[in-house]
Amino acid sequence: MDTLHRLLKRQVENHLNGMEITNELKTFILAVDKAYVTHDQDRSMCERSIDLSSQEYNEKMEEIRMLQSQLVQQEKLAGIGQLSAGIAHEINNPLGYTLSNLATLKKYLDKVKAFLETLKSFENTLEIANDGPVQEFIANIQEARKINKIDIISDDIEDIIGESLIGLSKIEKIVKSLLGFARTSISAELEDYDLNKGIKDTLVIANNEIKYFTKVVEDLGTIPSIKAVGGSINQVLLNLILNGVHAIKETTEEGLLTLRTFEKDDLIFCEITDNGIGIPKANIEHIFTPFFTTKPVGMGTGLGLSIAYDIIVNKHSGRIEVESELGKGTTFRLLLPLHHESKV
Amino acid sequence: MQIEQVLYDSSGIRHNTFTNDLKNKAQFVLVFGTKELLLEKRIYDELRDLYPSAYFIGGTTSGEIYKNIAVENTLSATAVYMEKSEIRFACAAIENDNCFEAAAELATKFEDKDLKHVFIISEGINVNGSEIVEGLTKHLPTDVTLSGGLTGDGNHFKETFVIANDYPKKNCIAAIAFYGENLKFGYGSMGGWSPFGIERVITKSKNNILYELDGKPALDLYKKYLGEFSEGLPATGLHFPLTVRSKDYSHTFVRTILGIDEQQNSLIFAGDVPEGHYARLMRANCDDLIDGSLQAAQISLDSIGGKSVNLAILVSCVGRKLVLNQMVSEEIDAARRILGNETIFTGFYSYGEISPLNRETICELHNQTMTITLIAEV
Repeated sequence: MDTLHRLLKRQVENHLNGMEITNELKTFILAVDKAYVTHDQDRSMCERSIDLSSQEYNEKMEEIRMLQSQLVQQEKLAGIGQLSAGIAHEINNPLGYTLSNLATLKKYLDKVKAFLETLKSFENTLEIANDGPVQEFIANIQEARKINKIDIISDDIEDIIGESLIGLSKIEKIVKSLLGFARTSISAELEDYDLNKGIKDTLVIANNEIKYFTKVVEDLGTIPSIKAVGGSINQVLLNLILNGVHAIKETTEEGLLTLRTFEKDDLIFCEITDNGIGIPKANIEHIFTPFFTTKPVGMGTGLGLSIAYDIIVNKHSGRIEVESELGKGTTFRLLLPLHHESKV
Repeated sequence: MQIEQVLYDSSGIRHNTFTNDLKNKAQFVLVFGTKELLLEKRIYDELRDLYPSAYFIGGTTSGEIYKNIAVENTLSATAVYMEKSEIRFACAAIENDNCFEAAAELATKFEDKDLKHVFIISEGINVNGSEIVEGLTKHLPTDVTLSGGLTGDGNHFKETFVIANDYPKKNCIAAIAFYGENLKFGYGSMGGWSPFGIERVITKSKNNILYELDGKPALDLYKKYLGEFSEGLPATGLHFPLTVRSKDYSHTFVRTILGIDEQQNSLIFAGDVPEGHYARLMRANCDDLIDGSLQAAQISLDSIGGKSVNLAILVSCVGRKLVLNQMVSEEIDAARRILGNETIFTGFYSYGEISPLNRETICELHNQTMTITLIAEV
């Protein structure tokens, strides 16, 4: 009876004090004691369940909040991609006929120049004749040629058309890259995707960020096409390339960004190596965590690498590896399987 | 139908005095008892003397259901004689954990013609109950119903024994088959447990062994929830059964723990826990469980057409007994309120219940339920 539940012990003392505890009464008290103990155990288990469940709910809510932010960011990027593809498509049309017209204009110029040469040769032939009115006519023509700078224009117009053709060809390359980069943002379906072309298109898009800070080395091997959501992979490439450039910007070294692709063991490898500031060891394990950023407020969302992880690992059954050394640089390695089931 | 019952107390002493009217008439005897009594040859021999020509079927339990109460450390025997119906018996050994094959072999031993119902008692530990049910249902005619249960071993989860018309043995399935036009059966199964907390994905499992939920060891999760009571695993795991559903919501079932494997960090359940399915922990309070028993009785009575019932075999889960504790007989009372005083009750606390949920559904393995089989001869 000494080991009774403390409440029951008190109740026995208060209510049965001095009473003879028969065997029947003792059995009854022990049954009540067992019920008290069981109740306490149940309550303790119930309280723990509530605490753990609440904790798990909060963790899940946090996960949902992060996924929601990722989704919004991905939606935004997809929207921008879609818009860019639309604009590129609109530009592509007039660009096509402008290029074509300029090429025609260049051909016409050649004909006009040939005609002017013929005219000049007539002038030279007639210039030696002693006929007064003819001389006066020739002088008028030469005067008009001089006043209207026909010779200068004739030389200049060729340069103008040549430079315009070069400029428009550059625009054409950018527009085509933009179309290549963004076209698959519209679709989330797996398609045949050429990673090397994706890298080239992405480099054109990122060129403005790259060209003032770093030299780019393209070491692109012969690799087969894979089934992938091209727009998503391009998004990852753009993110890793820009991260590399940002890391380089923070050093005084001459920037070098190397992009390497190769095939090994049924996997396509893509390594993006910069000689930037590198990532501290303590940060490496957090870089794929949503909202983790070391950039100043307003400069980075902290979602880029977490989205990259989601795209490569979850959506394409691939892997992302990272190697970094402070002051030396960083290599991000994407490993994409040649064959995988759609998870998109 | 005529029935008589005897009960042996924890000392192995037979309690009731009766005239043994069914001595040479009883067709089958349902024997449910605690391991200590069931393994006592003297008791088996005594029962065999009482009913020399009857088929004996039963096994070890985690508690016995006798008349209106749930008891433990006893052995009950219920002898049945059906004037207008025929009973046949068969058994099969589970070899190399091939539960499906053993069940299939058992099913083929019964002639199909006029077969109405099969009642089985199975090994309770070294078993995958889902495979037993699948093996039987695939090889029995579609209009033949099936019910029964897995034997128990108190809260110990060490070894169970089956009586297959002989002295008890391990790794065995015993069955009696009911033949005849005058037989009516009713079934009902209900739990009373409620899911709580977050839903998790079964990320690693093999048949009835669960390794990971949401990519984390499932055993760790149970230990975290049980706290200091985790030392009592696997028995204390009965406080938190799992409700499991398929991705498309087409299948939902409850699973209860039979064992743990510390080295593999895994949990062994009574039935399949398929990878890719979703799982939630469950909890219950006494009122919900008692109400579940009441509902199971009502469903079984409705399914037999509300007629007078001769015999009710109640198979309830050991997990319910653990939660109900001193109130365990309340769930027998609840069933009694629905089924009336004329119906004879027998049954046991098991490691798994087998029955259709109601008349419209197919037979399945259940856990944490009160499962009632009603038998009437008209």
